[in-house]
Amino acid sequence: MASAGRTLLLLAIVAMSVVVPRISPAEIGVTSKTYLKFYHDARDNSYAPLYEYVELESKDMDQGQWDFYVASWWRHEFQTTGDGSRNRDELTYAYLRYSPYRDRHLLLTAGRHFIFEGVTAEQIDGISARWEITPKQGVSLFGGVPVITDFDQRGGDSAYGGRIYQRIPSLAEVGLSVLTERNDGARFREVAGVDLWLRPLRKVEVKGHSNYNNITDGWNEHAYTLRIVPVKTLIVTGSYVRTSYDDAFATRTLSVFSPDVLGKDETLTKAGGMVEYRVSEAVTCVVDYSNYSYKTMGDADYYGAKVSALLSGISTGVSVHRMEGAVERLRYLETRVYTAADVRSWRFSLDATNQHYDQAYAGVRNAYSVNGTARYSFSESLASSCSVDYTKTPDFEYNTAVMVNLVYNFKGGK
Amino acid sequence: MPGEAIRRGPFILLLALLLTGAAPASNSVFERKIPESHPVDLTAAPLCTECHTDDTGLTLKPIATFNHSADFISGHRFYASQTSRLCNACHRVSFCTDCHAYTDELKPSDKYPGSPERWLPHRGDYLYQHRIDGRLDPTSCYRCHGTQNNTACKRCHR
Repeated sequence: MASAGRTLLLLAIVAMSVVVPRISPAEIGVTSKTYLKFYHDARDNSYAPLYEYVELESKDMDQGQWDFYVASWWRHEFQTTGDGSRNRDELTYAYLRYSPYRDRHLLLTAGRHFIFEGVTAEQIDGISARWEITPKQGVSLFGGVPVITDFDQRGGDSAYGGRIYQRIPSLAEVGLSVLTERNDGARFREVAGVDLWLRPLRKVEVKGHSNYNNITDGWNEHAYTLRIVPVKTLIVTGSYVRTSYDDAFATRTLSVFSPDVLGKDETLTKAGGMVEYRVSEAVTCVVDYSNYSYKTMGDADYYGAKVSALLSGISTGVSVHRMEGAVERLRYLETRVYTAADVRSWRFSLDATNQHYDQAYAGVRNAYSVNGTARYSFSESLASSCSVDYTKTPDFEYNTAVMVNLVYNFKGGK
Repeated sequence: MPGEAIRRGPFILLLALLLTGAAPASNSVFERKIPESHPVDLTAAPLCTECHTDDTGLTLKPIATFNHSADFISGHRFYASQTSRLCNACHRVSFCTDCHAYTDELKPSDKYPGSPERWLPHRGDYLYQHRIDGRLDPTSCYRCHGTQNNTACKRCHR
């Protein structure tokens, strides 16, 4: 968004945050998160960025008809300026939401906000409406300027679309959705899709979607999961995902997703499953397997298990996975161990991951990362933490990063 | 042309649904509204069925569907695409933007280093491993970095 537009939007939001609570009782919440990080890159440049994330939300406590949300972050780099600027910022979202009804079956939203509806997972500067006509049927519509096409001038950029759905209680939900985006007046993205949730039997669920690229005239992706819950403590899932690179990555803002890099006419079929068993309230085991099959490249299998537990206030997890691929780079053993303990106002955590490559790269067979963090809560609304990362990879012989963090929460109401 | 059919299909179906499917729902169904917020603060991935027993729950799916099991978490984008309003009852929008922002520079694991039980992506120095993961399944990279949140990527990938 152009800075003038962003300033205007911010001013409007701030004005609303002052005026609207005076009209009706409101609950206001503010969160500030400050991070200071110290680290080096592979060329031994040192960095010391300071980040400030601010979120503000306000809700109508009386009628429950409106609420609004603002979030933004800002960064100042104290040392090396890799991209040429010390300061960067982003308005993450800033929107007003209104519902004329107490049960909110009609929701109207205006401003910079996210749309999660079927094929659409987008950030737009615009308006949207979500109307649950009945609990069984509904429609959502949106339109505005997409944020993802902010890389050039915004003139001629637009995004619009919607989703309709039909539900059968406890049995099914079917949705149809479309997304159209233009950049500088040209077709940028046109996707249509169907999303599906079915429960043909009491212990069986099927969910998934198929998305179609209207510009390339091909299916982007088919993704479906079968979920069986034979007993309360056991969940068995099988999944199938087929992606056509040429169609799925036709719209891109990074060269690395080009067919010249990933291969023309390539498709990925990922099939696998997961078994999750809840041993007790505190202990869960998961075994998973995935097969990656390509049209032109060699296949790969990824399989392993993880156990996580919460015992006496100590959270612990262990995972071991093997990657077995047709190429040397896809042959390694991946392990992870973590633990986190709450002691009065403190929280201590230790997290270690290791990739053991079958073949050494740059003389390194074990690439590992260890993180240690201590957090202290001064009160319910103020906490601070210090975190140290120590890593060794084929890119870095040894590298240490330090992060200091301060979080402040405030909630009040008139 | 299949593309033409895909373009028009949803609107034809919308019309059909509105004309034929909008039968009035029973009162008992109407009573199950999505609350504006969860009455109890949840500090860990919830098993909704620990407290909720209603078989046909919110959004007309069984409440057990929303238990935050490993497969639910890995496939959460599907549930968000169908029932984002239910997500918002417990999760603030910033919960989503911690990972799914437009140009954010801090990784999720940097923001919450003291919560390893969340299994947040890109822990440690991810520079080397991203080449392997990107070769294996670029779709998982594309969802967040293909069209947005790629400022850091562009330092190398123009």
